[in-house]
Amino acid sequence: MLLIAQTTYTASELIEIILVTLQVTSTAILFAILVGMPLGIALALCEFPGKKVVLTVMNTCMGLPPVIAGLMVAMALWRSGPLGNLALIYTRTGIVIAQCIIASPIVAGLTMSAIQQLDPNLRKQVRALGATRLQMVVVLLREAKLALLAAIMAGYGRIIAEVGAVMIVGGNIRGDTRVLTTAIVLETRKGNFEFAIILGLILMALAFTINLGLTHIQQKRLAG
Amino acid sequence: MKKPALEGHEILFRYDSAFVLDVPLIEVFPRKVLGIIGPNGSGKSTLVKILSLLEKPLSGSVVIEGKAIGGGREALSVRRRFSVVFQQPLLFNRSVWENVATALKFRKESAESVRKKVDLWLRKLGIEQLAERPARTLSGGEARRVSLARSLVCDPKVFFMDEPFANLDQPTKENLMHELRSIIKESDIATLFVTHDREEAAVFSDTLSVMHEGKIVQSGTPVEIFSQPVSPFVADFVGVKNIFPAYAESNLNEQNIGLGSIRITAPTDKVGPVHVSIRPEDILLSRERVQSSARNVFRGRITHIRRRERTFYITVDIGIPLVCLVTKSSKEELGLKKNMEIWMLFKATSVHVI
Repeated sequence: MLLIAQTTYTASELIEIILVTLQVTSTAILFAILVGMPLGIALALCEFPGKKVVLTVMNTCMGLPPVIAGLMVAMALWRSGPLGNLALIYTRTGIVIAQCIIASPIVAGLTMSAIQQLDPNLRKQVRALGATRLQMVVVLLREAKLALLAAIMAGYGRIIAEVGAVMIVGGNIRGDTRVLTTAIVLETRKGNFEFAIILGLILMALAFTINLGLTHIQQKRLAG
Repeated sequence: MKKPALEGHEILFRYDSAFVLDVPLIEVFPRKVLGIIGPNGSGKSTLVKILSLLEKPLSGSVVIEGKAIGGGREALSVRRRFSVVFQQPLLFNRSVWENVATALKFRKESAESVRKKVDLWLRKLGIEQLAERPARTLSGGEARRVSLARSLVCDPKVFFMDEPFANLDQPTKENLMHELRSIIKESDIATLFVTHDREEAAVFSDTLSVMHEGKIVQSGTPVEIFSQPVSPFVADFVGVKNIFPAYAESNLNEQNIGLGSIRITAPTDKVGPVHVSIRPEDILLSRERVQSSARNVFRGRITHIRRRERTFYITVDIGIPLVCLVTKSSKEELGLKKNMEIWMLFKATSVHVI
């Protein structure tokens, strides 16, 4: 209570910031998986003209500065931008879009390398056992599950710690688009260092708990 | 004779400009094992991949029951009548039982049918006690058995094996070969077996084809291949030790063949440049000159003695270095030593003229 009294936040506001953080990051990683994994699988298994160009773009995007991603999304979502009529600027959906753009190349790139690290003959063996293309992909994903979980962890780690894009696209609106990282920036600017540190510890605890869960699944499967 | 279970017609494949696989005709028959032997890089594995529809040839066709197989769903349905095991067991990171059930689940067989078939094949290959073990914890021999059970469980019409006994110790290999051959002979499976191991090929196959640089250079029974190689390459590859370029001169009854500084006698109708091969086990050694019907008798000096398991290769220089195979007891009886003078003899019929 003392902590809350020293700040301008109520307990329910603080809880809401945590929940918003979890909501946007989990939604964004879900979409990043839906976009990135099929892309990574396709890049690992298919040969097509222009594949090298796609790979180069993807590798560049893996290292894309989040603030650039945020700027591009904001420009697209601004009222005068091409997607302005969707009214997504300064919304949680806008943040999800930006974070998805940041995490997807990471998930795609690491998925591709997870599949490519499997023995090339494994693919032939699965087909030789009579698998359809879809059945083959399922088996390969199952075989690469440890590396795939690492891909998800890397993507999630990137977006939960992200601040620049979220600030630009979300606007850090109190009670709406404020997440832990943007709240930390704000409190630091205001000189509330202690509270910023508390928020930082909460953020780290969240990241730790989520990664602990994923690591548990990963290592349990390894043992099994 | 039964119709072939699988035929390959005019198969042509190119890796790059340097390697071309060119096989005009290959047939695999039910209940028979066709062995493909050849050195590494001769195209054996590529041929298996093409015939098992895992790789598309540049041209040519794979024919099943008189019908050339196309692509797409047709290829999948035909591939489901095949099974392939590769050099590595390539087991999935699941239990042994789940591994063996994989192909049946791909075919969406009922749970009851899957259970019955998996249990049956685990029993047939003597690995039922391993059913719950994670496949990645198995020894090499166990993993190979699981890989074979996983392939055979779906009752294939054609069974492809690409170096399936590689890296196994001798007793494990011999047991597995024996059991697998019994399984194949009891069923209607047509088997194509690829190896670079001549002994494996001789023991396991009903017929053999020798591949060299993408082409089948000789086909026949193992006895034919090993006793009558058609080229110096085949002779060398199947392990004929004494193979020499020679010149056959015309003679009414038998040929006198000039072999370096010596002349030997052999029954052949060939005249001119030839190769001759003499199997080491067909050459006799003696301390004294013996009276015999053998037409080729020479005296020479032992230059090398090399041990090979329970036998010895003795190289005797008679103007050319001829290798003879003797048992340990013969070696001791004759007191064979390096630089010792010795008589050797072999029949004219022991000389194979290529």
